[in-house]
Amino acid sequence: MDLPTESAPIPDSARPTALPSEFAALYEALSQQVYYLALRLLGDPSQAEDATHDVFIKAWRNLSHFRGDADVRTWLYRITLNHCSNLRSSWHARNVHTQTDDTVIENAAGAAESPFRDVEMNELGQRIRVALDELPEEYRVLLLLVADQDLSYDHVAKLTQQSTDAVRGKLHRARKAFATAFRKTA
Amino acid sequence: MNNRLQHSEKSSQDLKATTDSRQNFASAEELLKADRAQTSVPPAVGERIADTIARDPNPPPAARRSWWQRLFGN
Repeated sequence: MDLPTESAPIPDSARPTALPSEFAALYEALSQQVYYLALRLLGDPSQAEDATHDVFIKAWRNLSHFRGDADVRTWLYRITLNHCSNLRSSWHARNVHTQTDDTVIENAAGAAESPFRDVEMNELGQRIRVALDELPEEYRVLLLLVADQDLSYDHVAKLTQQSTDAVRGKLHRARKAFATAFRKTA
Repeated sequence: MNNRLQHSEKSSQDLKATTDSRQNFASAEELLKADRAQTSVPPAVGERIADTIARDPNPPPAARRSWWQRLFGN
């Protein structure tokens, strides 16, 4: 059985032309964002595929409940975050998970050279997966959301149900924690 | 001699490929953006969604119009 890869290109012939045209446009516009968020939150390509499918089906079935005061991107992100959070919660209930102490990570981030220099691109996905897995879930979510340049801090604050100032403060700590965790993957 | 030359050229090409595959990033966000840019959705996902939707009732037309207008502005 072929395992799904993280970076396989999408051939034109494989686009979901069988989808209703408007929903196909929505899928084409936002499926990469949803898949990537799921991939990095869940850490597994197969699980991310399933999650992307489930998120778009939930969106399809709840279009009538979509509120006009949010944009579609934010709405889909909210569905994705909830879906992945539920999946991770159930996994954690079944598996003992030892999370690295947040303060240890932050304190270890010192004056050493940036770990983001001279990064081997072929190993990037694997290293990011390992580094993100070291972080508290809240940090992981914040970093992945702000990496979407189309989401403002206000959007991220609404999605994570906290103030914009709180997002900024936590992001500062999340960046330091991620840098330390990423350095350890070298 | 030719073999050595060919080997040298190949090594040079390998080194260039290795060098080209390395990049610098200013921040965690830049790193994650690059990671996302090189990550594609497997085609099977869209096909599965299409299959599922084909067996699903359509949502109300009014709802379709609402999100469509918001996303594409018409």
